[in-house]
Formats: sequence, structure tokens, C-alpha cells
Amino acid sequence: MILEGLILSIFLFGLGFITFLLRRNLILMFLGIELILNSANLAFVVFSAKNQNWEGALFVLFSIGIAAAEAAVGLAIFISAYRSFKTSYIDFFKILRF
Amino acid sequence: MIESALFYIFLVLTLIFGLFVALFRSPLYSLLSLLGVISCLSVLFYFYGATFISFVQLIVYAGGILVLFLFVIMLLKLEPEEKSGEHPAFKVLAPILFFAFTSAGIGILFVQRTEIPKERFIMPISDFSFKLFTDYGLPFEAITLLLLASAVGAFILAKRKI
Repeated sequence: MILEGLILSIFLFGLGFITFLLRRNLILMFLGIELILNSANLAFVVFSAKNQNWEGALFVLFSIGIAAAEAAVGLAIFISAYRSFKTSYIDFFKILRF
Repeated sequence: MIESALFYIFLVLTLIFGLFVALFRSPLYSLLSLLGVISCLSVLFYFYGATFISFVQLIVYAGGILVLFLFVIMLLKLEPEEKSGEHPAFKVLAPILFFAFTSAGIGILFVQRTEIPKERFIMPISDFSFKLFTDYGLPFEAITLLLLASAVGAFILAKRKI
């Protein structure tokens, strides 16, 4: 049960990583980052279940808070970039100012 | 017995939804697959004994963060990503990186195998919240400050004119 959870966490991290590398749509890259954060959460919970000590699971709460902050700021940047470039592809974001 | 079977079913479901997140080109389908990943992960957290974290994952992640993504996708009318135009080097490099990373991680796991506790240990929520507000009070306050700062920053960034 411990080992399977860690293997799943590794696979989710790899999938998020290749999503971030392969996609050029900014919102799909954000989804890859969310997948990476979730794999970290799973690893926290699995290790705290292994050690019978729930201080690891506490950090999942902090990780979710950081994910919320990252999503809010990232989506605000995305909306303002979409407004000035009229596209969501990062190939077109050549000048990062208004 | 049936509990262990359910655990493995949700493990495989999480992996399948994760593959869908990586493979779908439409932002909406990819987002809905991520919703599947998060729901299955919350079930897995429940199986590991972290009941409070499992509910927080469902309520905050699926109900808050992913709905924010959904609002942005529906506001901006994004089209699916087209196939051509990808850099060809990335298409070869990314699967190689993926397999190298996963095989290295699994190899490390099997090398450093340790003793595993047999019984399931359910997290007591009272101990959890006591620890959160005493030992981890400073990180908690730091997270609240971070959330406030990010809310103000998002407001300023998304506004047309200040």
C-alpha cells in the first residue's frame, strides 16, 4: 500500500512534467503544475502514513494554500496577457509588458 | 479484502485520469480529467487514514481551485491546441525524460525498501488541529499573509486600468 502510493506519485509527477513541457497553451501548462503539486501531496500523505506521524499531512494543508495562491496569480497574469495578445499560446508572448 | 480491491481500483483510475490530463489537447477535457485525478486522490487519502485531508482536498481543491480554472476557460473561449507547430525535439525528448524519471524513482524506491506498518492508523483531528495552531502557528500565519497578498495581486493584475 505504501509502495504503490509512492509509485503513483512518481508517475503523476512525470505526467505533469511532460504536460508542462509539451503543451504551449498556457492554461494546459498550469494544469501540469497542478498535477505536480498533487503528486507532492500524495507523497506527503503516504510518508506520514508510513511513519505513523501526521506532521506530514499538515503540510498538505499548506501545499493546498500555496496552490490556491499560485492559481489566483497565474490566472490573473493569464487573463491580462490574453487581453493584450488575444491568444493563449506562449509562442506569441514575446514582449512581457503592456 | 474488498477495501484493498477498492484501493487498487482507485489507484488505477488516478493513473488513467492523469494520462488523460497529459494527452487531451482541449483545455476543458484536460481540466475535467484533473478533476477526476483530484477526486480519486481524495479517496486514496481516505484509505491512507488522512480523513480530514481527504475532505479538504475535495472541498478546497475540486470546489475552489478547479472551478476558478473552469471560469477562466469558459470566459475566454479557448480553442483546442492544434497538432502542428510543436517543436519536434520536445516530442522525442519529453517521453524519454518521463521514462528516465519514473524508472529512476521506482529504482530508488526498490533499493531503499524499509519496513511497512501493517495496521491502518487514522488521523485524530483534534491532535491535528492542536498541532496546526501551536507548533505550526507561524507557517499558518505566513500562508494567510500569502493568500491575502496573492488576492490583492490578482485583483491588480486582472484589472484593466488601476
